[in-house]
Amino acid sequence: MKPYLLLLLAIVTLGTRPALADELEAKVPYLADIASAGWDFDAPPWKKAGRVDHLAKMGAVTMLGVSFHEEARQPTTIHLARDRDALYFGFDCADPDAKNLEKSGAATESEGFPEGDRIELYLEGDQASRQAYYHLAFNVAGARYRALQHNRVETGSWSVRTRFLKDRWQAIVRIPYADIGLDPAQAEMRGMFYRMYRPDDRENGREQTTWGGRGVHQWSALGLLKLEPIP
Amino acid sequence: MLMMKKILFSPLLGLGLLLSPLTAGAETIPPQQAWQHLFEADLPGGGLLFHTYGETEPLVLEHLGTEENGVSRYRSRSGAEITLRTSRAAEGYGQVEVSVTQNGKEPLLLEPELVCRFPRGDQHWFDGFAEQSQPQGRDEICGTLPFVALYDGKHGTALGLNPNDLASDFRSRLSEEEGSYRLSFSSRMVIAPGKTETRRFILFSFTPDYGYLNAIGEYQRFFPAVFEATPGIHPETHGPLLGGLAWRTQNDRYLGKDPKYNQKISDVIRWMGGGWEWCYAGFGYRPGDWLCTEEETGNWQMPEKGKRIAFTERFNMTAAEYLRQHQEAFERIEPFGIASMMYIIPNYCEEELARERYPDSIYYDDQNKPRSAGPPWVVQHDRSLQMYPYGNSFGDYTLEAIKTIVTRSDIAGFAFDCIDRARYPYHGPGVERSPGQAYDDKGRIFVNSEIAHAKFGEAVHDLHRDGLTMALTGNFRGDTGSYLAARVLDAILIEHSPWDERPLAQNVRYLMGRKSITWLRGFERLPQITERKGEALVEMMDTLTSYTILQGLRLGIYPNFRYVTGNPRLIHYMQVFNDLFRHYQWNPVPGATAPGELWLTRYGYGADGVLAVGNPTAAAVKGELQPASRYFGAATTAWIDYEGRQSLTNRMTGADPTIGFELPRGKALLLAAGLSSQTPFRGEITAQRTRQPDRSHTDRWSFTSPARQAWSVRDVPGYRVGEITLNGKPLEAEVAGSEHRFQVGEGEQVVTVRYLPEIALPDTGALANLPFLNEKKEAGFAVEIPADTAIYRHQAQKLVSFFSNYVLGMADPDKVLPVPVVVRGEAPPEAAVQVVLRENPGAKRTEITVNGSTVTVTGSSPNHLAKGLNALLDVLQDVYPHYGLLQVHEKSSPADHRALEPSLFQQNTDQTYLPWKQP
Repeated sequence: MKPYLLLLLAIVTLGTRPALADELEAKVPYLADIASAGWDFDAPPWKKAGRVDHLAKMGAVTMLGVSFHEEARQPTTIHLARDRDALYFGFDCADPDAKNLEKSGAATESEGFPEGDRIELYLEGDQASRQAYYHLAFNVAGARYRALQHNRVETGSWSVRTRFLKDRWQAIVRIPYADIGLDPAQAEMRGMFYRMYRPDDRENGREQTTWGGRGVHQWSALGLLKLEPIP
Repeated sequence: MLMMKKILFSPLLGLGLLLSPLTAGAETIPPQQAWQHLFEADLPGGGLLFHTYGETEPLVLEHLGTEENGVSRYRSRSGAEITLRTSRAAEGYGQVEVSVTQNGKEPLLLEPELVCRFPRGDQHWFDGFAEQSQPQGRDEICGTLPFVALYDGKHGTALGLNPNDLASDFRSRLSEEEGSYRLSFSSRMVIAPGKTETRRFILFSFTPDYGYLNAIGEYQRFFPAVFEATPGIHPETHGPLLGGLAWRTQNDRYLGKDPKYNQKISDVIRWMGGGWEWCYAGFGYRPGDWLCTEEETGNWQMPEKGKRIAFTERFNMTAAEYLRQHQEAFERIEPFGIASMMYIIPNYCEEELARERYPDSIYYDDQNKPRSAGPPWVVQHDRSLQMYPYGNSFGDYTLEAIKTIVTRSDIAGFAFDCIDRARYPYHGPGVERSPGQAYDDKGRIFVNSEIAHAKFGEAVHDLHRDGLTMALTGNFRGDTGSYLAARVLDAILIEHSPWDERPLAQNVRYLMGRKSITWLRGFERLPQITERKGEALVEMMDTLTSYTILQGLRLGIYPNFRYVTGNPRLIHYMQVFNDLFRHYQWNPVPGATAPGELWLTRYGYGADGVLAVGNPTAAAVKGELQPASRYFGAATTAWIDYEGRQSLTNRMTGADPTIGFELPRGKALLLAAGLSSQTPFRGEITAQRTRQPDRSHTDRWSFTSPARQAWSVRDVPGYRVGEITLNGKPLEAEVAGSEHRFQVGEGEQVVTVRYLPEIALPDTGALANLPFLNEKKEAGFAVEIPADTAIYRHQAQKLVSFFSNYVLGMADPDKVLPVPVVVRGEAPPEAAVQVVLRENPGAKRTEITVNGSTVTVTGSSPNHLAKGLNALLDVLQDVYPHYGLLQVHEKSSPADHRALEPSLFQQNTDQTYLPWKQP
């Protein structure tokens, strides 16, 4: 049985009602040489990075102690690291037709929200006291978007690189602390990751996955990113 | 108790200047003698500060004098005049009205800030959004009540804004300073040259028996017009959203007026208990052309798939003909007795129309770009732009257009889509004429988009039709909407599911007060809902049903009709929801305590409350409920199981009872206030409610009375007190309004109280024995209606629908049960059972009687008759074994969820919003 068929199987677990935001946690190690890292996420320095690999279909819910959630058909792994100036996220997105994906999506940033297959990040930055977050999004063509919650702001200096392989596409994102107002001395920050797969194929393919299957644009649903101190 | 007189405004205080990076100058108004008639004494460290933006010098104020009525006047160096009026409202709050007139040549950007200081102790802090664990500021108005509160175990103080003031900005902060807490609330305002602007700040104290919930309770009590639906609107606005159920089936634009749907939806509407309808795009076709004119819609060359096509060609009709289809749909809905809300979206306009006709009103974001909704939008084709609909060309047009709409369309009001747009500051034309202007951190003047929406709501409420005030409904969420929109909304939907935290449903309830709320979504978005079958599906649906009931009780939110349909537990519970939500109404102050893991909500505001306790945990919870009798207007109040499922023991050791219970996972216990006394009682009172099939119920109270004592019971919503007995003998009670008072002597006592429903129902045994259906499953009845009108034809159709679809499970519309319907005066057809609808304008009570083989429903008006017939069908529903409509469609028999198939759920997510498959 192919791996992706296994993932089609339902995963319904019994458990206690989760304490939101406390259950999802990932480390963001300090890696001095991460800025010069290549695409091989299994090789140093990415090998020492933190990982988030449980993107589930958005809409997971726990009611009366019963959790209902569903794993992604197209898995996504996220590698996390930081250096003195920025956060780094390496996205590894399974996609059986990634080569064709390369041709889709608009690279322009002038018109609204990035269209097509995309990744969105929700990062608390300096907004903890307001229970708010920055919303950063990019599509496979590299078009970026930045907002403070729903209000679009100047895109900022954060950068995205993408590449396309036979069965996956990858992205390396660098987010300078200033773009989200993050104090480098901060030990933790809340965040959320979202992936949109085939938005135009509502009948068969479209899939929205998030960290833990939680909702987006929802401060209380953000997971916890533990930031390793900068030496 | 910390009295109000001790908390504010010392004539001795000296706050000094409060400077921030945004504040070039600030000035504290020293409290004057005149303030003391309001606040009487002092608490060092309070005051009113004025921050200015962009001034090079502090706003130095000269005190011009204080009048005996508490009005103080000041003048700044730049010529601005400030008038402070302090007053104490009869409801109990203090108010400081700040009026500012700018005599200078530039707009004055001013932030009055109300400040209190408190000795630091073990206080809690509510910032209008949530209870916070640490001092911090809040400048977010979405989901936020416009007040803040600081409280300890005994005393609470709150300060904020009069919610009738439209303000684009308010902010608050709690900070620690030198062993004290500094609590502040401010609102940025803009005063144009030659203009006067006013903000009303309020202060009040409260007893925090239930923490900040007491402050919310007080705030809602002070301003009933904000937290209750507008008087005089269609009464079904207080019910649940029907979500397109009636509109889409009655409108040629959607499914067409097909009788087979009529047959089914009457049962669904009955299960929902009536409600209000979201009449999608009822204005026409092109957003922004609210009147559906030939000029703007009929002559429109529509963009479609990269080409242009004339509207008339696309639809093969003129705009007038298109509009007529909508108009006729409104007329066809009328017999359903529901409140038809015409869908409108005043903050969006089709892009080409916006650019051509209303360019001044287009909303531009911080990047100076218009916000496009993008296709598909309102009618699934158009690209619309966000607009600011007030004080500009589009606003003026829109407010005129709705007058015409109300005149010509048979509606109860409007359904404002996307009304919750509090995150969008507007800087364009229209700001000048808008109230509540504010400025951002860069000094840019703006109005919150919801200011325009609030003005739209006020304009709607000024319109009337057929003796009804027009209502405003909309979709609203706590993370995107503010008090500005909530204030004018009479009922809302939340476009999410009962388990979804994103819309901040609790905050929405705080903002909406007692007004109707419905979840738009139900089961269709559960993970794997389309892939589950059999027992797994049953488990999910049962869990969701339980959770929906618990959330419904916790927050007073109706489920969507698609989820009620075919769901026997929810069909039953809709009667409970309607009773609690419409008649008793949600109350933020629980008036009782229960184990912390349970959800506890109070319904009602007087002596006749209901307490709802729900168990959302994974296991049964054993515990005690302790209602506080003083919250229910008595020295002693004893409680009874509202649903009559179990006997309860009220253990009275003082004024308040303690009631032990064990609540299984996912279950709710509803307790109704019953027997009460103005004298404390010690002992045990055992309570048992027995519900009868005819919808009456009898409450039995057993106790040992140590002395003679006066007790009372009350008429409750939907019921009046009938016979009262004491130890088996009728008891004469003194009736004062809704209260029935009586004396009970010493010793063992049993008091029974029979409650009669407003609609008099017959003995169900008599109904059960009538052959409505014969052995061949053919109709054995005929219907006589008072007159040949649409509403009476519709009532007759409801009976046909009930037996055809609900009882016999006919999926094929061609097999509708043939039932003779005659108009009064015509020769009665031969039938074993005659159902007669009789209109008697003098009837004081709607009633259903059975005389031999004739069932007569009597009511004073068509509306009362409709309700009477629904009551009859509710009783018949208990008598006849039945199908849910979902099962009917799939021709599967068990009347539970076991036969549900995934295809049905997929079907339910389509655009038809119908719970059954389309042909």
